[in-house]
Amino acid sequence: MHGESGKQSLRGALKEDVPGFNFDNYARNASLPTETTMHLPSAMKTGTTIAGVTFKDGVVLGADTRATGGTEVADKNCEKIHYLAPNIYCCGAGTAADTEKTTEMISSQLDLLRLSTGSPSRVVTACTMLKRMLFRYQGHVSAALVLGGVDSSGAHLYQIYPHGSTDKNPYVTMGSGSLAAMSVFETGFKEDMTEAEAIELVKEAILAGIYNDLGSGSNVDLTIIRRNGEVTVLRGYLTPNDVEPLRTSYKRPAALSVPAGATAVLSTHMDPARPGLEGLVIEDATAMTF
Amino acid sequence: MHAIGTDILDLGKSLRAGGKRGAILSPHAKAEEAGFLLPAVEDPASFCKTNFGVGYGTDQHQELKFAKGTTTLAFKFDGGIVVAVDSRSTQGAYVASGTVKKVIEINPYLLGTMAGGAADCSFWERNLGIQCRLYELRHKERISVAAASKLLANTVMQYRGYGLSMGTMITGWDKTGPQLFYVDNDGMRLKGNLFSVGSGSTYAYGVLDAHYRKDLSADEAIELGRRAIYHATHRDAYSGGIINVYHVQEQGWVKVFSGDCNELHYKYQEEKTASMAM
Amino acid sequence: MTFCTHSPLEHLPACASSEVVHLNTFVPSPSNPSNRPASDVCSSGTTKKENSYSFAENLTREIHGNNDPIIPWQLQSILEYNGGAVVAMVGKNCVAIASDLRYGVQAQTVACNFPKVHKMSDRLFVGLSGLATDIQTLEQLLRFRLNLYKLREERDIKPETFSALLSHILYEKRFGPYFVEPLVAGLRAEDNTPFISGMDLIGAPVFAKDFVVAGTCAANLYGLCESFFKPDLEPEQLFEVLSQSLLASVDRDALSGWGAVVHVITPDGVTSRTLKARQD
Repeated sequence: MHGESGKQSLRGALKEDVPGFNFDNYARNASLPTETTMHLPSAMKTGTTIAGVTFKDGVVLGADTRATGGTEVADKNCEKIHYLAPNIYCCGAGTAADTEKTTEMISSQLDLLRLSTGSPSRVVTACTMLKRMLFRYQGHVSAALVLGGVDSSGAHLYQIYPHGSTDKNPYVTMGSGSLAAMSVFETGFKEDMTEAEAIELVKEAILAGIYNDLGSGSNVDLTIIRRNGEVTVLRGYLTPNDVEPLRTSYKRPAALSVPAGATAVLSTHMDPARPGLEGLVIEDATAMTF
Repeated sequence: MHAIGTDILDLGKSLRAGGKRGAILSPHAKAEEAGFLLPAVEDPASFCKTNFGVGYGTDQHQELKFAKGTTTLAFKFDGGIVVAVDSRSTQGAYVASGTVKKVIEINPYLLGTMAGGAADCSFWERNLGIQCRLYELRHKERISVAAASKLLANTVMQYRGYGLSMGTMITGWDKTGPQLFYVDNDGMRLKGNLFSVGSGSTYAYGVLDAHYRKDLSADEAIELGRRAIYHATHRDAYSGGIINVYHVQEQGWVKVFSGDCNELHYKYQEEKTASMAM
Repeated sequence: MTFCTHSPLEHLPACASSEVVHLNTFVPSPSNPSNRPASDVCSSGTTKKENSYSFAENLTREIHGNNDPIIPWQLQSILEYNGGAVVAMVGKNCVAIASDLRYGVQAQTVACNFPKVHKMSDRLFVGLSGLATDIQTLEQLLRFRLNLYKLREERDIKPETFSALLSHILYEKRFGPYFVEPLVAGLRAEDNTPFISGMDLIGAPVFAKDFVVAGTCAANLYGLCESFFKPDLEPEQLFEVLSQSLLASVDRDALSGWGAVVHVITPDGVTSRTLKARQD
């Protein structure tokens, strides 16, 4: 926490590298009518089905690609399998910003750790760093994670809950579609599967979430991390809900093509490009209109 | 369930105080017991008010959001009465319609306006029309505006505290001349020369109070009503669409204007620019 | 909790010249089984001492039959306090971003000259919808951070970098956020390819390849853009499609509209147009 007892000083504003969350707006927000008469605005969530299995030669991680804001689908193709290290990836469910920023922060810390130790990151290190951070925030940072990767001690798969508890299992699921996905794993999981079998199983688990859970949808993303260090990121491995072919085959009604000049314009101003000047001009602040 | 039959005529008076409150009427209830079915809870009034409230700001927490109407005005002048309304209907911030008829033509001599719950107003003013027609048939003469507005006030009194939302003006020309009454869901009934009702009413009052005179000509009065509603549609988020203006005369009401408030905006803007150039 | 049936605005119909024709006979209500007329309650000193409400307030409370605070107008969210709509759309080697012009305080339209899209550099714009005070604060903060960036780097910021910067500024305030939903639209310097992104109020980014929307009529905008959008539109077509989507959306929203401004960013420069829009 910075910004000395809620005061926002110029020094505070100039310091871009103050670590931790900033609570400057907290008292202001508490004094807004928000709490008594209004609902707090809802942040974007990833309803989400995420899952992972270990197989003979590594781990397979899978995720759907739907992000929701309330009942609205805010993003039809978002990325939920985040990079942590060259040998470690992490699926995120919960509040979109939390999963995004938590994995980003841990990823950069792992990077620094690798630079200082000169050795590859271990999955258990990533897991410990994540759980410590989440525990510190007592569940307020709502990220539910599936962490998978390989290191010198083999292939590992963890699930991490928003409050900081963790499990280590051969197959795990998380998110609102976790039950649907787990039902697939419980029926189809075998020890020492081949890569093809593992991919098929994770695909089916994510599809179960996409079709049976309203919070999940769109595409299947997969990431395969092998013991030999090879990684394959399959973004859009399966796109069963792609409407593009349908769109292109559909003849639009004439009303949907806007003719030129349809919009009544009151005034036009053209600001021509300034080739060669880019980057040299510091923009003036615009005068406030009122 | 009943199909709506003749018992609809009794809706206004069948719910006697201390009578059928709280009871669910059986499907076989006799016609004289007819009324709205009430929820089978201990306190149907507060249940209705909590869950079926219609007024501005009262239904945001409810699953059920109602269409609402918004700026209406009416005033007496030497040439009769001018009634002017907007036509926007909103459900929360969503604009449900921009072409609602907020002046309800009760009969050729009576007009009602609509603010608050659109369903409440249109239903009960239609019901008022029926009651007025029955009065005519029974008494062989037209009902006075005072009596008609009292019928409506009596009706809403029966449902007081149940969450009805109505702010209406009843106007017309009877034996005593042009008459203007305000009736709302609290049972309030006022006689007056100038009213405006709805979320945009403050803006309309601003224009009316500045320019109203008793001796306005008919054209001036119509223009004043139109302009007051236009200013309300411009400033109030929940008013807009088509503006309708009626003129109540001795021979009955006449619809004198119906036009888009947006066209008025640009017309008034042009006039303003022209007058400033002079 | 129950609220009053009417906004206070609706209790204003009585004008000076009106006379009370009929005093309502008081009927027993759930809140006042004693059958005392409302005026008695208000004039009895004890009630007056218990709370500090005025005579009129007490009367209203008595009529409405509860002691909950009387809230004149209830909002769904603080993001709807001022109203506003922003949308950005991708074309072929061009990108457009637009906003409405209303600045309101709940139902009241205060001004019609409040654009929510701001120029950040020659080919980079940011659109901010939500609470107006935070829109202004954030716009000034972004300009400040951008100027620092330019002084340090001696070059224009890339749209991607700017989007990440904005996302971090918002997430830093995860537990005391700005009530703002931003959009970013820009043209990449390297190859004139368009970039757009949207964010929620704590900085979760959405990278779309067609359009992003925000504001009090986001649902309307989604619908219109899904219908009107076509890939690879030329600047002039893009302008028409975006403008019609925005105008149609704000006309179905009580809290936004009252004018619109559209910026089309092309390699040749930026064309900014103000649109003729409905004024109700």
